[in-house]
Amino acid sequence: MKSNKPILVIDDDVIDSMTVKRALKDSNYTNRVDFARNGEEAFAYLNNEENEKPCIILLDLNMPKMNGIEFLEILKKNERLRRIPVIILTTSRSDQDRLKAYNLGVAGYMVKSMDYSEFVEIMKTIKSYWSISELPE
Amino acid sequence: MKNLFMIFLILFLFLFPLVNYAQTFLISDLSECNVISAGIDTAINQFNTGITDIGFCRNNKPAKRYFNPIKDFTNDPDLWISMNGQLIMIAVVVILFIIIISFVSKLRNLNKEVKNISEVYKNLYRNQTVKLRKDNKQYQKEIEDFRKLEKKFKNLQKVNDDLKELSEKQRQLQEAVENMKLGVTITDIEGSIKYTNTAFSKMLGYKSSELFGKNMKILIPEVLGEPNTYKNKEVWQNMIKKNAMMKKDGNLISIQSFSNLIYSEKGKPVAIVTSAEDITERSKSEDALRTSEENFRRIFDNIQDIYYEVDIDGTIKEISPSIKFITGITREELIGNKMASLYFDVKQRNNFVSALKKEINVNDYEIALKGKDNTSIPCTITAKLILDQSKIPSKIIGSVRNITERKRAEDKRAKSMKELKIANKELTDFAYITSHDLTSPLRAINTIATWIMSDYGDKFDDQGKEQMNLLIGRAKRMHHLINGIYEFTNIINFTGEKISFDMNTLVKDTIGRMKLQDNFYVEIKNQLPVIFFEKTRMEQIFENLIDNAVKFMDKDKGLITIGCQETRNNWEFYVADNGPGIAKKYQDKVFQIFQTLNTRDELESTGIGLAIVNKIITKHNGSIWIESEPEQGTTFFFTLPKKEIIKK
Repeated sequence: MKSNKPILVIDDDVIDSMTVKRALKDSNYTNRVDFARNGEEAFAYLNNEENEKPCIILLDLNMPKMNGIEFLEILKKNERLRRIPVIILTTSRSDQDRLKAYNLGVAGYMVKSMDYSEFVEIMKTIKSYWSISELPE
Repeated sequence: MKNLFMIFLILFLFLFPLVNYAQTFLISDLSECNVISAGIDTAINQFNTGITDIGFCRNNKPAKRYFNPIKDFTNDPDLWISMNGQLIMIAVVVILFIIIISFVSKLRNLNKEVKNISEVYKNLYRNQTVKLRKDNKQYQKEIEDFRKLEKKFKNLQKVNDDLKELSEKQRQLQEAVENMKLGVTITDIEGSIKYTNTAFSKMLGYKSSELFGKNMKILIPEVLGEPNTYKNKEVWQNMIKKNAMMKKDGNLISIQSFSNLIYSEKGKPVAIVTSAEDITERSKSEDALRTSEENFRRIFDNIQDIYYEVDIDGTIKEISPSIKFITGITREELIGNKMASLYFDVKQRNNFVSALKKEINVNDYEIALKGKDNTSIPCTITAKLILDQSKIPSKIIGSVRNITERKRAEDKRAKSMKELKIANKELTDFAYITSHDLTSPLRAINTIATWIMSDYGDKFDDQGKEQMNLLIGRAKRMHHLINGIYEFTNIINFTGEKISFDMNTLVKDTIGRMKLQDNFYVEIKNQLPVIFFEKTRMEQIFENLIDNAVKFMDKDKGLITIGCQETRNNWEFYVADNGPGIAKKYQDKVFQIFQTLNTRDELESTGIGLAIVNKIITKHNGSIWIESEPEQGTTFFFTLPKKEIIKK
């Protein structure tokens, strides 16, 4: 990552969060990783002035309380937060979900792999891409 | 003498001014001579200036002072004296008189001669006149005779013209009768044919000449007895009858005839004139019409749908009796009443009539009729507005159909459809939720099992390791099954965008992507078409069919052939392999979801691939089947209708 700002992972599944954390570690990320279990928790985190603004958000779609699409709809209307790149990390292969997500300006859409090693590969790819891509301040 | 005097007088009157003028001219100053004029008494009365020049005026006294006797001037040689004009005149007159007298005597001689000639002619004239008068009288007599003749001739001519006209009229009449479509025959009162026109003889298959002189009897079939000949006047007077006549070839025809008796001037009946018409065809069509009318009546009386006719003011003119079965009100009760009284809601009729006036024809217009017990009966009307010759609406004819049953069925169907839609939606949601919600824990199991193996693998013995691998394998299989369900339901519920693409390229790309092993050889037998279809679905079809062939291949060298054939309405494709083949009894099973012919432990297979292929094809109104013999290989055929895969 170019930036050393934290990565925010929004996912309700603890094991999936663990998987992301372990995969990030296995991909040699040095950034801090913070977790939120749904959209509401994520906004609580993002709106807390004490927390540094994350450099990237990894977002699950199917979550209780506020799901990924609802979260995106609000996020993209927020002038302060709308430019944070959001990558969807989900189990859903649904075309409608993909369409909705891209309509809301996501930076990528990844399907969670069954195979852990593939998961690590995904994380590595994300890392290498955002190591090159410039982000706005 | 009188004439002579007149001549003399004329001459005098003419000459006197002439002489006077000459004298005046001489005396005028213009004259080159010195002139003086004097009267017969020699007294000078006129002179010109010349006189003064020669000295008479030396002492400048006025000339008239010197008007002395003429002899004063005669001594002067230059002096020209004009004697009095009257003297000259007298001389001239005398000469003229002599001339005239001689002329007159000549005239007298001439006159005498004329008188003699005249006398001769007078005599001649008198004689001629007498002769002419005689002639004239004779001529007048002749003219009179001629006029009498002429009158006689004119009378004759008129008679002749009348005769001609009569004959022309007769000719025209005959011509008219001859050319009439109606058959005409004239017989004497015994029935002997005197005349037939062409239509009559033709109608009976004869030539006119053949009938002449024959008796009408030959035209009447024996069964009908003898023809009516003259018995009493009343029988023949304007007699109209229908009967049969026999043609020359023996066939019978139906005739409608009209006969009349003709009388002589003395009032004696002399002939019968009959006009006859062949009504065989008409009788037939009348019979047919009657039958069809009866049929229609029967239909009208028994039809379930209601036929009706309504005046433009809405009065029922006709309505079929079956209305009773729908509304409980009889036809007799309704005729003459307003159509609106049949409606459950009068507004509906007004709307319907407005629509009809606009459209002229209205089909399947839904309305509700009112039953006797005031119930609403759902019906449809199909009606037509009838316009008169001046395009003004004159009446409405239409039919009413009771759709109570249909409505009930429709409602039932709509309810079923709604339920089905809900069920389908629930199923889709269920499949989606299942695939998502089951995947997550499954992935967790798989991930953690993987971690345990990588973190603590060295602590397991061989049996432990095998069990862990089985665990991971089963988790993966379940994942495939779940994905299969998801994909399968997706085909039902989601239709992608259709695009045009070349099937040759698609098949080659699919094969390329599948990374087949070297011992597989795929051959495209003939040129595949360019089609208009969901591209990913077509990829799925070939991927699954080829995958199926590859997966079950039992030969060292796998051979897969792909081809197509165009039929009238379809494109037929096939994918053939040289694999183990599928026994007849299993052929239907292979398309069912999760059906595998081998246990999954022997051959990892979800049993979803062919079910997906089947689903895609049947969704697009195609069909799929297998031709296979065990050990001979399998051919999968599938068809897709052209209208599904050709761009409109």
